[in-house]
Amino acid sequence: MVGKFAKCIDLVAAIFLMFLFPAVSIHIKIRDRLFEACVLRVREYGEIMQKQGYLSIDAAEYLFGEGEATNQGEGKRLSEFVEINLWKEVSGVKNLIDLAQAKEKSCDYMGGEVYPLSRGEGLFFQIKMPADGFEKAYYYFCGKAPEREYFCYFHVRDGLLERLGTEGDLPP
Amino acid sequence: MDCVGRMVEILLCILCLTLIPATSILQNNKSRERNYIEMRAEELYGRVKREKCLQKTEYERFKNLLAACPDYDYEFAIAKRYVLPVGMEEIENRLSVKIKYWEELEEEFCFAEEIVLEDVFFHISLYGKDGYVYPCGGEVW
Repeated sequence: MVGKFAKCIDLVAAIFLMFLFPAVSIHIKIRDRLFEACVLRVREYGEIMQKQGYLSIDAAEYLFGEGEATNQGEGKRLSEFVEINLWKEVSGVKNLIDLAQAKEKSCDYMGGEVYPLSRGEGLFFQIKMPADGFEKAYYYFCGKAPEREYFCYFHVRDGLLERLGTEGDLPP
Repeated sequence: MDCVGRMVEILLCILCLTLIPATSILQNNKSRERNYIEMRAEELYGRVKREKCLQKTEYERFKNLLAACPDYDYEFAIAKRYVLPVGMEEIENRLSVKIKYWEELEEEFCFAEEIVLEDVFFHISLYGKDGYVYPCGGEVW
């Protein structure tokens, strides 16, 4: 009886070591890469916003919108696994900008809806990817599954509000 | 023989269940720490560029942050370009650029609460003990 039980334990350990552990490690690696890709994409958008001085509503939908598609051509969301928050910093005070707010304060610029920014404003991005079930299991004996989190900061170099102001065409 | 096999099995299980995940937790903490310092450096440069001055309080805050992270070192540099060399040292090096490093900034902060920066290049370099370098900054005008 004891021998059978030991063999059973051996079998479970072998399955764990040869199959489950590598599979979960691969899953976590894939999520790491997805997160890195999302971070790079958000940085790209941040740099564009820094140079252009506005956040287009299409970009806002892509970054903060809801939906399940991970491809920009098919859906309206960068990834359903990551949560992206954006704060606009004006004189040291940070205000959260969400999609509804961006749409509400948007104006028309060169045929597209944009949320205008002012020169010198800070754009503070937070990208988060909560741990899923596999990760929680992987880190179970360590006590806590670490959450992937990345911050980046950009300051607007050339604000659309100033450009529109000098052209005498301020948004309503 | 059975006993040795089982011990190896137990060791492998411990390795897979605790040590490997713990290593990745440590790596994750390290990268978050780096990200935080980089973000603070970018934030400081953003403020300097917006206000065209370096506040003593901001400078002290950044210095204290780096002091709390002993694995990192930093270097502040403020470079101003002149038409002609401005000092003996610059004449010797045939440079028309005056670069102020943190030692000079500390001296200036003894007498002023802020340093006005116009037409300069402001640069912060972050160095890690493991060879990590993060340059941040650019023009202020």
